[in-house]
Amino acid sequence: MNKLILLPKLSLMGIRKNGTTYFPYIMAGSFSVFVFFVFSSIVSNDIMRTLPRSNYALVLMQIGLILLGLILLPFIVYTNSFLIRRRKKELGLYSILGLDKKHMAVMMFWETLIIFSIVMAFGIVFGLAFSKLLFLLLLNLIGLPVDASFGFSPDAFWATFLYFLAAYGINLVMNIIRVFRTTPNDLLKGAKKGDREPKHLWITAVSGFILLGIGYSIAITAKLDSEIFLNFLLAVSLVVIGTHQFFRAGLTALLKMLKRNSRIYYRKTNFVTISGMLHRMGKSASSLANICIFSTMTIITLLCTLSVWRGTDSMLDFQFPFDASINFSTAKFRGTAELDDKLQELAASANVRITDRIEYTWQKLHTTKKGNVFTVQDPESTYAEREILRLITLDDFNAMEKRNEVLEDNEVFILSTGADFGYSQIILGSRTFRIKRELDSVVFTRKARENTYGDEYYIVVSDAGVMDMLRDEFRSTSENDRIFTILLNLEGQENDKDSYVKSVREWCMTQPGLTNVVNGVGGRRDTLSTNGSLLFIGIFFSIIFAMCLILIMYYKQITEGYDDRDNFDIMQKVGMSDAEVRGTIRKQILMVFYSPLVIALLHTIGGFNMIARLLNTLSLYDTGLIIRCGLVVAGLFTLLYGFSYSITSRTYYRIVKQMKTDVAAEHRLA
Amino acid sequence: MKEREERKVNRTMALLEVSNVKKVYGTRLGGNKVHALNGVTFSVEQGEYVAIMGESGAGKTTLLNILATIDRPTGGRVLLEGRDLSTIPQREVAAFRRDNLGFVFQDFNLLDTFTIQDNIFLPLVLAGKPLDEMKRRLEPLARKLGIEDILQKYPYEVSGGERQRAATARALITNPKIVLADEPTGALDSKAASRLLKLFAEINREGQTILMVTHSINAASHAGRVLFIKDGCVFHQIYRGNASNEEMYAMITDALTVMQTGGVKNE
Repeated sequence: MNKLILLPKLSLMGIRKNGTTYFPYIMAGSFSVFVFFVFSSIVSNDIMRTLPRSNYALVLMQIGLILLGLILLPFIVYTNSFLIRRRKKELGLYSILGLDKKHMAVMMFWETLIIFSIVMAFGIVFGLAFSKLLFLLLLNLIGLPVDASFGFSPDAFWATFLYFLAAYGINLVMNIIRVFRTTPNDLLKGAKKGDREPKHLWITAVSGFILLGIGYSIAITAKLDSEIFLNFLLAVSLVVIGTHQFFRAGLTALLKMLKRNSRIYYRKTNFVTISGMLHRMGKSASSLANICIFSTMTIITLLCTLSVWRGTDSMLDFQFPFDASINFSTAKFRGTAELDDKLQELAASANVRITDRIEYTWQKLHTTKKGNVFTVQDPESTYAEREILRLITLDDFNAMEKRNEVLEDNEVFILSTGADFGYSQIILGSRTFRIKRELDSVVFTRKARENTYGDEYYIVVSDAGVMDMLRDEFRSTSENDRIFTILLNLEGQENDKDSYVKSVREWCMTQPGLTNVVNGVGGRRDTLSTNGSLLFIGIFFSIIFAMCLILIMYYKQITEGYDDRDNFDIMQKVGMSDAEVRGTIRKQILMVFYSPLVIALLHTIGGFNMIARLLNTLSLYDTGLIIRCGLVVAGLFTLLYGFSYSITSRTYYRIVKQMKTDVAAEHRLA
Repeated sequence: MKEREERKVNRTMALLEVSNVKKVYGTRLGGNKVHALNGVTFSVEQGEYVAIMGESGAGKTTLLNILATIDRPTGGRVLLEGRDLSTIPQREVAAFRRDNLGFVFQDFNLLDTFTIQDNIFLPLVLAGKPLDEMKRRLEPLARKLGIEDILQKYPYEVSGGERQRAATARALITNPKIVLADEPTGALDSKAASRLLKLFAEINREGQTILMVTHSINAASHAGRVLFIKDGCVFHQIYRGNASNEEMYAMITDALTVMQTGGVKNE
C-alpha cells in the first residue's frame, strides 16, 4: 500500500482502536470548542456593543473568554499527555514492524489533524446551532429585550480556530517529542516499576500542610477590603500547591504507616489495596489532587452562581433601596414646594405612582477614625482609617422612622452600615457623646455587618445646634453644606420608572444646588445585567470544571484498570476468589476515590469566608443565603461525584473483568 | 526411596487420578469442534515427580489448567485425594486452589506491587494466616531456595532465576498437596534453569509431589516419570527406575524420536 495512504489510515485506526480513551477526549474537545466559540461569538457580536446597558455584560464575557482560554489549554494538553502515555505499546509495535520515527511523527500529525478537524467541526456546528439560543439566554438573564438578531461571526470563528490550532499544535509537538525520545524497547516494555516515593517525604508533607494552613488562614481571616482579590488569588495558589503536596506526601505517609503496621497490612482485604496504592503513588496522588482541585472549583463556581442567582433581590435592595435618591446642597436649595409639584407632575405624565417618600437633611463629616475617636481627617491617615460620618437630627430621624425617640444634648444614636460600632461612647473631635443605642435597621439605608469596605456611620444627634457645632469643628475644604435628600419608591412599569427618574434628573439639573440624582431603577438594571452575565459564565464554567473532573476521573479509572488487570489475574491464579477481588476493588476505590471529595468539601468550608467576602463585593451580604446555597451545592455535587464515580468505575470493572475472558481466550488458543 | 515406596504400597488410592478427561472446544456456531484432550488417563502417586511432555498444541496447557481448576473438562473426571474437582462449587474453587495446589509459572507471575517476601506471603494472607506463622514457614523455605537476601526487594530488582525461586517459595509455602509447574525453566538461562531443577528434585526428595509441564528434555530428565501427550492422549510414558539424569535424558530423546517419526508415518 502507498505510504501516503497507509499513515493516515493507521492514525484513523489508532483513534478507533483506542475508542474508550479517545471518544471522551474528542467529546471534551468538541465541548471546549463549542463553549469557546459561543463566548467569542457573543463577545465579538456588534449587538453587545449597541444594546443599552450591555457594557458590564460585555466586559464580563470578555473576562470569561480569557479565563476560558487559560483553563482549556492546560486541560487539553493534560488529557493528551495521558492518552499518548497509554499508547506506548502500540507505538513500540509499529516501530518494531518497521515504521521509523519520521513516519510515526507523520502518523501523529495525521492523528492530531483528524482529531482537530472532528473537534472543530462538532464544536462549530453545535456552536452555530446553539449560539443564538444561548445568546438569547444571556440576554434574558441580563434582562435585555430578547428580540435581537444574532448571526455568524467570522471573527469568533477565526479566534476559535486559531486558539485550538495552537492547543492541538502543542499536543502534536509533545507527542512527537515523546515518539523521538523513546526507544522501541522502552515503548514495548510499559511501566512496571513502582513510582518512586517522593524524596524528603516529611518536608513535602510539612510544607504541604504549611501551605494549606496559610491558604486557609488567609481565607478564614479575609475581610472585605481592597486586597480581597489579591488575597483570593494567593489563597487559591497556596491551596492548589498545598493540595498536591498533601496528596503526594500525606497519602504516601499514611500508606507507609499502614504498611508498617503488620497487623493491618497483612490482612487480606488491606494487603493488596495498600501495596497497590503505594506502587503507583505518584500518578495516583497527582490525579487525586487534580480531581480534588477541580471538585473544589466546581463547587465554588456553583456556589457563587447559585448565590448570585438566589441573592439578586437582596443585592438589589442593598445597593439601591430606593428607586430614586435626589440630593441637593441646602445652601442654594430653594425648598421643596416647587420640587414636590414637579415630582407629582412628572409622575403623572410618566405613568408611575410615588409609593414612598422619605426626606431628611444630613451633614457630612470627613474624619479619621481610631477606635471610637474621630478626628479631623488627617491627610496622612490610611484609607482604612478614613471614615465618612453622616449626621442627622433627631427630628428628621423620628419623622422617617415614625418614632418618638428622645436624646439629651450629649447623647446620640449610631448606625454603622458595616460592622457594629460596638462602643458605649463616641468622641467626635473635642466632644464626647454617650451612645444611647446602636441602631440595627432603619428605613433610609441598609446595614450589613460584613460590609467592612464601603461602610459609613450615620449619627443621630439631638438637634441642629449640635450638628452646627460639629460641622464647624470638622470643617473641611469642600462639602461643608448640609445635604437635603429625598428618597422615592415608585410603582409602575420598569421602563416608565426609569424614564421618570431620568426626567426628574433632567429637571433637577436646571435647579440650583443639585448634588446628584441616583437612579435606582437603572442601577438595578446594571446590577441585573452584571449578575446575568455572571450567571451565564458561572453555568458554563461549572460545566467545564465538572467536565474536566469527570474526564480526569475516567482516565484515572482506565489507567488503574489496566494496571490492576494483570495483578488481579495473578492473584486469582494464586487463590483469590472472585468475591475477594471484587471486595478489594471496592475497598481500594472507596478509600481513594472519596478522599478528593472530602478534601474538596473541606476546602469549600475553609474557603467559605473568602467566598462570602467576594460575594460581598457584589453587595450580597446575606450570609444565611450563601450558607444555604453552599449546602445545596455540596449535596448536589456529592450526588454528581457519586454518579460520575459509578459511571467511571463501571469502566474500571469492565477492564479488570476482561482478564477472565482473556484467560478463556488463552485456553481456546492452547 | 525406600520410604516412598512403602508409602506408595500402603496407599490404595493415588493422590491425583485423571480418568478419561476430554476437552472439546466448540466454535460459537457449533461448526468445527477442536478436541484438545481426547480421553487422558493417568494417575500421580503421593511423592511422585511427573513431567508431562508434548509438542505445542498437544494439549499440555489445557490439561494443566484443568488440573489447576482454572478450566473444567467436558468429559471424564479428575480426583484429588478422591475428591472430584468438578464437584467443587465455583465460589470455593479459589480457596480450594489456595489450600491444595501450588503454582509455578513460566513467566513467574510475581506482583510488582509487592516485595518478594510479600509475594510469597500472598496466598497465606489470603488464607488469613497470622504474620508469625507466615514468617515461621518462610524462614526454612527461603534458606532452602537461597532467597533470604532478596526478600525485601521488588521482583523487578532481582534476576529471573531469583524470581522463579521466589515464585517456587510462594507455591510451597501453603504446603500444597501437589505443585503444578508450567514450563518453569522456560524463561531462565541454563545456569538458573539447572539450579531450579536441582531444587525441584530436592523438594521432591523431601516428599513434595510435583507435576511439571515442559518441553525441555533437560527439565523432564529430572523427573521420576515422564508422560508424553500427543493429539490429546497419553501416548507413552517412561519411568526413571534407577536411571541417572543422563540416562533419563537419552531415554526421553529416544521416546520423542519415536513419537515424532511415528507420527509422520501415521499421517
